Amino acid sequence: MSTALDQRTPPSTTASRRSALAAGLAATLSLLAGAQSHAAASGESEIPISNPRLRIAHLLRRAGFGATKELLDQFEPLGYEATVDYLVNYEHIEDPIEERLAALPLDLAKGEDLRRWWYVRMAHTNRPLQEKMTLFWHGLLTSALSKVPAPLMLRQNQFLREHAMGSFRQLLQGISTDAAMLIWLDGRSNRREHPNENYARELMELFTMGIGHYTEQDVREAARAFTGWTATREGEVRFVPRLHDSGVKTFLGRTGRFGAEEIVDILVAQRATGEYIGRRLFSFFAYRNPEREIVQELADVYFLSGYSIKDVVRHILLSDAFSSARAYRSQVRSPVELVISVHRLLGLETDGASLPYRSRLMGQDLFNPPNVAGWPGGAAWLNSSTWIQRVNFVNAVASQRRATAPGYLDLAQLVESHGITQPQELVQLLIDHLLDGNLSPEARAVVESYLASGQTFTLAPASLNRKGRTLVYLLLASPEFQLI
Amino acid sequence: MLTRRDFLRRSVVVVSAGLALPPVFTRAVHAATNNQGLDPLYRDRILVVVQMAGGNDGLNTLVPYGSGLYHDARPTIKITESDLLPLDGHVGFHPSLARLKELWDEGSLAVVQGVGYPIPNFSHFRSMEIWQTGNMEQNLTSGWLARLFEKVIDEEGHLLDGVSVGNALPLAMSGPKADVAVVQSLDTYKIQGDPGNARDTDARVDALLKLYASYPVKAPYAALLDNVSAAAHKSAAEIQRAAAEYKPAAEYPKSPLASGFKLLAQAITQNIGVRVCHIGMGGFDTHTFQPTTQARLLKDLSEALHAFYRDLEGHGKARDVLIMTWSEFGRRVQQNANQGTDHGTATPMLLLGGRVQRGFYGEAPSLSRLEDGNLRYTTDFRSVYASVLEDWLGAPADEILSARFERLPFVARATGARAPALPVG
Repeated sequence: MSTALDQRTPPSTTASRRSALAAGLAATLSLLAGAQSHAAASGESEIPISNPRLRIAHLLRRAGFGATKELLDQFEPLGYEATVDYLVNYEHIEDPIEERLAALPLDLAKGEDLRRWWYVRMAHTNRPLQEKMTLFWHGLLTSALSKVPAPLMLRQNQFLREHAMGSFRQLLQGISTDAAMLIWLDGRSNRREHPNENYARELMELFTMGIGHYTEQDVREAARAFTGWTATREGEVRFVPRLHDSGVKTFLGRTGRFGAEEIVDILVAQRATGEYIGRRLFSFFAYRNPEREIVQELADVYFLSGYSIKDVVRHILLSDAFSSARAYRSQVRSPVELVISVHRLLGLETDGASLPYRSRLMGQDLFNPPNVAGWPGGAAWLNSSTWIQRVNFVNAVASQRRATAPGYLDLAQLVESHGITQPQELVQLLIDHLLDGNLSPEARAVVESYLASGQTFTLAPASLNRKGRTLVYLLLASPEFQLI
Repeated sequence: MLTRRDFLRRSVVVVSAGLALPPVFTRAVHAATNNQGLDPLYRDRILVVVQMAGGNDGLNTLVPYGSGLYHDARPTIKITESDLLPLDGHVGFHPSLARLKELWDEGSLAVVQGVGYPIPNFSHFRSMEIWQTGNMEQNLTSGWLARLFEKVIDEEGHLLDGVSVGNALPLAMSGPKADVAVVQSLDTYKIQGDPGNARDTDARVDALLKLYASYPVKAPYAALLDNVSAAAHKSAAEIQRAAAEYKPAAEYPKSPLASGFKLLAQAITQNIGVRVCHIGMGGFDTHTFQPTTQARLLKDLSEALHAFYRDLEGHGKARDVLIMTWSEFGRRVQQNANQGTDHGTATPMLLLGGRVQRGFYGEAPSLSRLEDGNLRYTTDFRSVYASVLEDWLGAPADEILSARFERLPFVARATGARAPALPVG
C-alpha cells in the first residue's frame, strides 16, 4: 500500500513502471557503452559524491524535482548510469498526466489556470526531466504573459516541451516563428521599411552566442532577414512577402539573400553557440561558471551530435563535475523547484490551486519572467521578502491538518507505513529523505532540542500533529532545504 | 569590539521583546562600540531613492517650452505652453506634476538638468546597471548604496541598512553584506505561525533562526542565508509594529506606488532605524502613445510623492529626509511615427526634502548640439550621487564612487560637528 512518502509511485504500478524502465533501458543500451569514457573525460580534479544513493538523490533533484523514498529505493539498485538513461529517454516512460490534467476544471485561456496546469504537470508527471527542461527553455527562450495572450503562451510551452531534448536547430527554427515570440520580441512590427531589431538582438545576445560575438551590423542584417514574419494576437502566424526585405545581407561573415531560416542555421553552427548552450545547460544542472574545459567538451558534444540537446544533457549528468563536491547543494532552489519538490519528496497531491500565488510571492511568476533575460536565479532568489514567503509556504504545507485539502501530509500514515515505533526514527527518516541525512550536528541539536522542550515528543496523534508538523516545518524551512 | 553580527543578534532580542527603542538603542550601541561611523549630525538623515524604470522622457517632464527646436521635434506629442506649469521663462513641468509644482513653489524641490554619463548605453539592462553600480567599466559589481552600507552605515548600529519596496532587492542595494528589508506588502510581511501549535510559536521561530545561525559559514550562499533570515525576522517584527502605531498625517492616493510610499512613511516616522529606502515604478518605456502613458505615470508619481512629503512634514520628519528620483535614460529628441519616443540619453533628476535648496542645478542640455539625434548630457549622475553621499549623508563619496565628481549644492552642507540645527538653504 502506498504511503505519504510513496504516493509518487503510480498506483498498481510497480509492473508498468518496471516495464517502462526496461523499455527505456533497451532503447539506450547502445548509448550506455559510451558512459564510462564520458565520465572519465571531465572534471577529474573533483571528488564525486561518494555515496551511491546520495548521488542518485542528487541526480533526481537536479534532473527533476526530487523523488519519494520508494522511487529512490527503486533506482538505487539500478545504478547511476542506468538511472540517467532512464530519465533522459523519457519518451519511453508511460505518463498518465494528461488524464489528470483533463480532470481539472481549468480554462487555459486564463493566465492563472495556465499556471496551475503547469504546476500540476510538474508535480505529478512521470517524466520529470521533460518538465525540468521545459522550465529551462522557458527561462532561456522567454516570452511572458505581461505581453502575450495565454493561449499563445500555452502553445509555446507545448512546443518547448515537445522539443525539450531534441535538436537545438529545430527548437530555434520553431521559436523564431512562434506566435508568442513574434509578439514578445516585436517581430510583428519588424517590416522592410522599418526593421525592428528586438528579436535579432536578443537571439544573439541571450538565445545563442552571448554578447561579444557579433556586431551592431550583424544585428541590423539579421533583423532585415526576419522581416515579413508576423503573428496576430489570435495566434495566426504568417510570412508576408511584401513586408520582407529580400535583399542581400552580410551576416557573421557570410553573404546572401538570407531569410529567417538561414540566419538561424548560421547561428546554430557557430562555435560560440555550442559553448553558450553548453554553459547555460551546465549552469542549470550542475553549477555556475563552469571551467573552460567543460564548456569546450560540451560544445564538442553539441557539434558531434548534430546539435542534440539530449546528448549534451546526458553528457552533463554523467560527468564527474555534475556529481562533484562543488556541485552538491550549491544552487538556490528556485520557487518553482521549492514548491514542486515539497510535493514530490513527500508524495503530496495537488490541484495547483494556490501554487502560482505562492511562487509569485517568492519571486517567480511562471509564464511571466521579469524580462527577456528570464529569472536571474541564484542569490536573486533570496531576500527578506522572498525568504519570508518561502518559510510561510512550507509552514502552510506542514500545518495543513485537513485531510481533504490539496497538499495534505498524513504523518500518521507515514509513521505506520514505515513501521516507525520511536519518535527518533521519524526524525531520522525525515532528515534522511528531505536532507540526504546531511545535517550538521549543530543543526541536528537545534531540532532535537526543540522536540525535547516542553511536552515530550511522541508518536501519539496529538503530539505528531503538533511537534511532528513543526519538525517537518523546520526541515523544509532550513537553510539546507533552500539549496539543491 | 562588537561585530555587526553580534549587534544583529542583540537587535533580534530587542525586537522580539516588542520594545520601540531603535534610535536610542542604536546610539547607545554606537557610543559603546566607539567606532568611527558617521558624524552624528548626519545620523538621523534618511535617503529615499525613487526609480522611474523604462527611461523617462525628460523633455516632456521638464519642458524647454522656450525653444523652437523642442516644438519642431515633437509636432504631435509636445506639451503646449497653455498646459504646462512654468518654473521660469525657459522650462516648465508637465501638467501632471501639479503637486510637485506646489512643492517647488514652497521651496522644497530641486531639479538637476541633463543628467547622464559618457558613452550612453541604450539597453535598459545595461544602463540600469550603470546607474545602480555607479560604474561604467563593469569592475564594480556591487550597488552604490551597498557600498555606502559597507563603508558607513554598517558601523552606525542601525537596525537595518535599508528598506526596499517590492519583490526584489534592487541592484543599487545589492552587495555581499547588505542588510535590507525587501517588503512587497504589509499583509504578507510576517513570519506565520502554526495555529495548530500556537504554544510553540516562539520556540519554532527560535529554532528556525538557530538553524540559520548554525549553517556552516563556508557553504555556498551561507552568508546570504544568514543575512536574509536575520533581516527578515527583525524587520518583519519592526515593520508590523510601525504599521500598527503609525497614523498618517496626509491622505494617500490609491495606487500601488502610493501604498509603497506609505509603507516607507511608516518605517521612517516610527523610527525603525533605517538610513536608505528604495522604491520604484515602471512603464516609462513609451515607444508608442506616450502622451497618455506618461501623463498617467507622472500624475501617479507626483501625487504619491506629495502625499508622502506632507506625511513626513506632519510627523516632523521632512527635514530628515531627502528624496531623489532617477531613470536609466531619457528619450530621443525627435518623436517617432507611433506617438512615442525611442531610447535616448540625458534626463532630469528631482530632489525633494525639507533641507533642499530650491533651484536648477547643472546646465540645461542643448537642443541644437545633438549627438546622433540625442541630447548631450551636461551633468554626470555620479555628481548627484556624490553630493547626496557627502552633503546629505556625510559619507566618503570619492571612496564609494572610486572617483571624484563635482558637487552640486542642492542641500546645504552641514558645518560644525555639533551644530544644533542647520540653516534652511
